[in-house]
Amino acid sequence: MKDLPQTVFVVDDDDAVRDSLRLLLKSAEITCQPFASAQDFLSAYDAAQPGCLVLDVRMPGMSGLEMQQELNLRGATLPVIFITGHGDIPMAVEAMQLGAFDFLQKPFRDQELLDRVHRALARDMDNRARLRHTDRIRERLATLSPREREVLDLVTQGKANKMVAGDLGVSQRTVEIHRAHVMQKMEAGSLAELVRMMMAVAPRQ
Amino acid sequence: MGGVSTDVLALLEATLDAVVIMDDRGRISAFNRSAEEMFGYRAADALGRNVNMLMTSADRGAHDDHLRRYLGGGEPHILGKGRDVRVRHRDGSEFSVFLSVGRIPNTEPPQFVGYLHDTSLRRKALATLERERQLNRLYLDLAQVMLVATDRAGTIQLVNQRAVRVLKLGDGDIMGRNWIDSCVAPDDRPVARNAFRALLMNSSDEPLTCDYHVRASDGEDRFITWRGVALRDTDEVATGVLLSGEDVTDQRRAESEAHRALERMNSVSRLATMGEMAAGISHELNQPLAAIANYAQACARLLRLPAPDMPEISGALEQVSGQALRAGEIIRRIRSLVRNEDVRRELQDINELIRDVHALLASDARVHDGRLELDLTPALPRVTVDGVQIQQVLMNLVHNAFEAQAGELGRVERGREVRNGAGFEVRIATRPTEGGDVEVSVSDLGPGLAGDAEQRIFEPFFTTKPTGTGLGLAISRSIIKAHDARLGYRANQPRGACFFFVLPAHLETTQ
Amino acid sequence: MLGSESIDGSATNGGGAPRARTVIVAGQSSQRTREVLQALRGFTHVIWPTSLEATLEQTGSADVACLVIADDLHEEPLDEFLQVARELRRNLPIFVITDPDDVAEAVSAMRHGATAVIEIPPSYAALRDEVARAMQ
Repeated sequence: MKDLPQTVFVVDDDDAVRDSLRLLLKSAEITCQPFASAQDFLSAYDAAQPGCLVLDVRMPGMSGLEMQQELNLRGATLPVIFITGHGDIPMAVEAMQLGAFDFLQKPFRDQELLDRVHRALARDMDNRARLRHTDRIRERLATLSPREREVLDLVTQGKANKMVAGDLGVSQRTVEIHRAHVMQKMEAGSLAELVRMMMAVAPRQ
Repeated sequence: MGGVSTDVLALLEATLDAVVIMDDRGRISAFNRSAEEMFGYRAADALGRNVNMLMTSADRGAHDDHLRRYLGGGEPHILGKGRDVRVRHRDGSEFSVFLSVGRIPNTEPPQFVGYLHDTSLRRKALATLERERQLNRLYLDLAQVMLVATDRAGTIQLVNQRAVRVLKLGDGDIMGRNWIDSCVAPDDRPVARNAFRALLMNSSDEPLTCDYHVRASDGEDRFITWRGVALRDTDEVATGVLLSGEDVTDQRRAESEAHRALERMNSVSRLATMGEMAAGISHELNQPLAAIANYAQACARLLRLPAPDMPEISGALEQVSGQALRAGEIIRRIRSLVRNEDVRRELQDINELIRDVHALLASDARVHDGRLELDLTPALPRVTVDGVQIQQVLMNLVHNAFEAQAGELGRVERGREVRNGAGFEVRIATRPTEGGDVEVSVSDLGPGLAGDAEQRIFEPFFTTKPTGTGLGLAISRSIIKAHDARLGYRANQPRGACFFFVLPAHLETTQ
Repeated sequence: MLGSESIDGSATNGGGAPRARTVIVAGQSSQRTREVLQALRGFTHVIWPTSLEATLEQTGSADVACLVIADDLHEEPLDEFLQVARELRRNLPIFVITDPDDVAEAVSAMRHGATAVIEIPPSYAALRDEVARAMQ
């Protein structure tokens, strides 16, 4: 598990809103780091820092939605909770389609915000765990030899050893040996597990 | 020719009228040349024959009777009076003559002289005259204006069809009635009388104009614009007046309708402006409310902790009241903008007015990723204005300015502004003019107005915006105009547009 | 295993397969559902299954272009249904119709798998646009 504590990053240009959010989160014993503008946040952003974002939609300079897009480009997975003083359904739908985690209208009940923050933080933990998982799979994949990789691909397509041997032009015995190495290196207990690993790292559309 | 001297006969030959002398038995004893021409007989053929031959069959018998009666001592039906009679030409055709008959004095037995005047010419002339009169009548009646002629006393002598229709006279006889007493609406009679007198006394040829109401026979009042001239005789003495009137009742009604419609549009525009600002207002109000909610709820939580952080809590409570006041300020300003439409002109400090509306304008600025600069000269003289309306004009101008600049770079989308390193700047400035009045200007660094637009920018419905109504500037201009000022445009330096107006300063009396 | 259905669950076109044309409308029998059906009249094949099961069954069919949830489903809460439908068809456009200004409901629908949320009234035009786009 990660050592860094989870931080809620609050980005809002209105001083009173920003400061009151800081205090609210503090009163719920959640670590908070406030920023007055999108630019300020992006300059300080470190992908290794776990947590979530509470982000105002309408700000001078870069708006909340623009910042979300920028984060998408950078491949950031930090969950974003949008807050807005003037929100309508089209705006909410657009934010969600851009990948926002949640969307909340000001003023809100403290419990509303805190619930969503907790959920967002949990989601962030999940994301990071999954990322670590797939990272590890990829690490293991990288240790396979080219032939081992070929065997892996064919086997996870459902082909029997005999077929694989035929495809590769080697003996069935060779295939069995490669297969054993693959299972070991990939730390897979069964073919099903191996298949799941491959699905996990398969490129998504 | 027995009994008539040659001198007389010579006279007879000279006259153009036909002259026939007859004896007491009706026998023609003289027949002048004109008679020859008139009847187609030579004198030699007419002499001695009965004058009957000149008459139509219808009259023949009657003539004998008249003669007999006269000679019998009866009433001379024909002597001394002239009358139209039909007579007969030698060729049988009949025609009219005007006949007067006289007894030749000192003739015994009596001889009678008849003068016959060819009335066909006269008839023709009369007919022509009649036709012309009818034509003139027609012209009078076709005229779209009302025509009324009266004598000096105001007695109606002529009215045309239009006048009859407007006054709904029907078959009633209006001729001979007094114009002012019968047709002018009671309240307007003094005015009409004055105008009438002025007309009669007016020595120039120029028509005099006067507007007043007439009252139709059903009691409906119509508002008429009258042009009058005096009618004069050959000695230039006014004999009466001729009035030509145009019924402008509907026009006036339409004008006041248009004025009311403009008032309504004014309020619609205000609503539209408000609609455009709704997003900003909503946002503005929700900020302090959110802050209050967060602070208060945070305090509640903080107090539940084992060691409440007192400085934080008291700081938060101060913020709560501060934010509540902020919200109140915003609401007050919004309310001042949607207040009722009574025009209330009051002495105001223009800089104060501008600062009042600044919060709302600044919100609009933020939406457009811009800055609103205030460049207000202090200690300006006060002005008498309707503050609400002036603020509305400012909102319109500032909003336009931001839109112009945003338009340059592309559509401003909800929540997503187009980035421009420089940012937009719109400046509201106040300064005193040389005359001591107050100039207010709103300038931007946008594209300014190109040629054609500069002329047309204040026209209603003219707009350079893809979704503009084109009403904002027209209404702003009319508001400024109502303040005895003018909304103008000039190019801004180094670029962009500048809309300005100059409000008259209130002259403070030193006491 | 990884058969003719690719990972995301949509049917692979073997080239020459007909474009998805069916619009499924789900929702209890109500004024709004009827209005939505009315608004979609221009599209060739619109079906309104009688039960939730039938809806889910139809949703699985390859011919479906999109799913429009016009109103509450009296058999099930919206969010749960959305999750199920989303699991069934990972990439199927699902449009949820909602009352105006109910941002919280819209956000919840989005979080549970809706592709877009459309306010009605007034946006029948927006709905038709989305459906038309889903057909391409």
